[in-house]
Amino acid sequence: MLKRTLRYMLCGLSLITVALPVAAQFEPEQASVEVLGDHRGQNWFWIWGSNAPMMTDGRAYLFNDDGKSLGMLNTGTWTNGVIAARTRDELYATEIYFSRGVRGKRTDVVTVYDAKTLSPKREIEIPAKRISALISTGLSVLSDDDRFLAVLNFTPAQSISIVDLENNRFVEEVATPGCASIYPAGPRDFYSICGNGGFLHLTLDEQGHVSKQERTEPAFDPLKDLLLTTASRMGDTWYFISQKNNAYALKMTPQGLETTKQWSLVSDEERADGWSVAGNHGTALHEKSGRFYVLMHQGPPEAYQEPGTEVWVYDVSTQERVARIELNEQSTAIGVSQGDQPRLYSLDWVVPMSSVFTTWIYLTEGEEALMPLLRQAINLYDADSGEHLRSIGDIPLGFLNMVMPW
Amino acid sequence: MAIKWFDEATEMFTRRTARATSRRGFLGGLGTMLVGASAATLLPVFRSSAFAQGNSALVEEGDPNSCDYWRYCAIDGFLCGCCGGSVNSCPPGTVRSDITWIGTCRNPTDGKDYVISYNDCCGKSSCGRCVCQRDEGDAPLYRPQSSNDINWCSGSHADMPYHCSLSVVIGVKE
Repeated sequence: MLKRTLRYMLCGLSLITVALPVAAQFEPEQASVEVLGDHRGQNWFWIWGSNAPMMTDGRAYLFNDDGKSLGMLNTGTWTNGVIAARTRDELYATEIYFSRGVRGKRTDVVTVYDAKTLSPKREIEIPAKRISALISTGLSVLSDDDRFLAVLNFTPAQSISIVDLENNRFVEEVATPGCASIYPAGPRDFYSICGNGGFLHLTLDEQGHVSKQERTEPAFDPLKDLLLTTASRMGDTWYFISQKNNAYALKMTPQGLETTKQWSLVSDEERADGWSVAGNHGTALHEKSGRFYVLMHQGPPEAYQEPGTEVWVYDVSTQERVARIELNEQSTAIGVSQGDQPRLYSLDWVVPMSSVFTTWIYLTEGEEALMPLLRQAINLYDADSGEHLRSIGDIPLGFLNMVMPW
Repeated sequence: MAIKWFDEATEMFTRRTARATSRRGFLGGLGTMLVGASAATLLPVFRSSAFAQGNSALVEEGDPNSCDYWRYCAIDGFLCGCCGGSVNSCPPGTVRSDITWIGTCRNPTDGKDYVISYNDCCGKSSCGRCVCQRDEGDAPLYRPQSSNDINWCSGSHADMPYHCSLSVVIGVKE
């Protein structure tokens, strides 16, 4: 009996010794939460739009250079996107919320997000007046030292709220009648574009109060040619494009505003062929090379916000066009990363099926049958050569129309 | 959002097809044929049964739920007629904005120019149907009186939640 018991025990032991290595190899997984690394120099980029028709659920999406989704932020009703700090690992969003979704008490806040965890760190309540508009450029902008945020309001009275991000407080609201999108021009200076073609220059003191306001002479004639509010900055100069296909270089400094260059984006022949500016956010700039990228297409003047088919590249020092990049899809917004191997990002409208099927639907049922099939995608190009690099599909629906390289 | 999306898409498809295939002769020819065919089908479809309601003095033709309808020459938004309202009435439970942007559109039926008020309907989340963007005379948001890029629900009694857009004829240029 003892022998048999001993034999069983030995047998059991041998089984354990056989089973043990297997058990040692298995380690249960632990669920975790990703934390991002340093975004600098990685060619990462954000995209956003109004997120219509689900506008109460505003979002901004983050992707890496390979097209991998890295995460997202929830940014309130009819988002105007995010602003990235230069000196801190933070992102800011000026957000609108209602206590009952689309009704109830409205609260506007500046939410400060951690750039690595993508979690909110704190909120600063601001007057519940923030503008909501199709084009988000210039609606909420940072001073050059990251200290103050200027937020455009529209009730429809126009004003700007100043927020102190270092001391987490709303400072004051300043009336800016007749003026809209804001362009930073130093650590304490902003310019707001106005209906008469001039700009309103605001200078802040160290507490963020407006210490000086003055209106500039008109920089353009709004009865002849309207500047678009999308613009790209290089040093102290903002490069604008206009509805009639001109480029304007406006130098904005604490000392004042000066038009330093103005040129036509198209030749007479191209103008006659209908080439014109396109898209919702159709400019980008690579600072080191001084290359200015403009989204273009062929269409009548009233089609100036329709998607673009090409990107035309200009050298800002000579105002000469140095390249034309044919796009694979129809683009509503472009962006260019900085660095030595810049990427050209294009946020596109696509019908994700064979062109033969698309054409068949168009011919048999008309264009309106195609509209519900439209989806959005991102295409990446080498910004120097124009070579297509990769596509990112399956972007959630939401009328996305802005790309921000990070 | 492009409404004349297909014109440029056709050119783009043709160009890409030509680049992508070794049978350029055949597919290039197909592309040309399709471009030609699309030009013929771009003509608007006349629907005699579809007339705008409301203003008996105004004679107009076309489908008020089509983006090609004459009143929509400067609109940007979802057409209220597809959302429970009509060309000049807001859907139930929404709130009409009092302030808005103004456009001028030519009525092809009588050849006259009319002033159109593009009031928004507010207080519910966006309708999402019959999106339409046409920008005749549209200006950037620093000239708000003629800008369709602004959410005109801002300042309405329902505040800023945007649902859809009307096209109300408020004047005629004699």
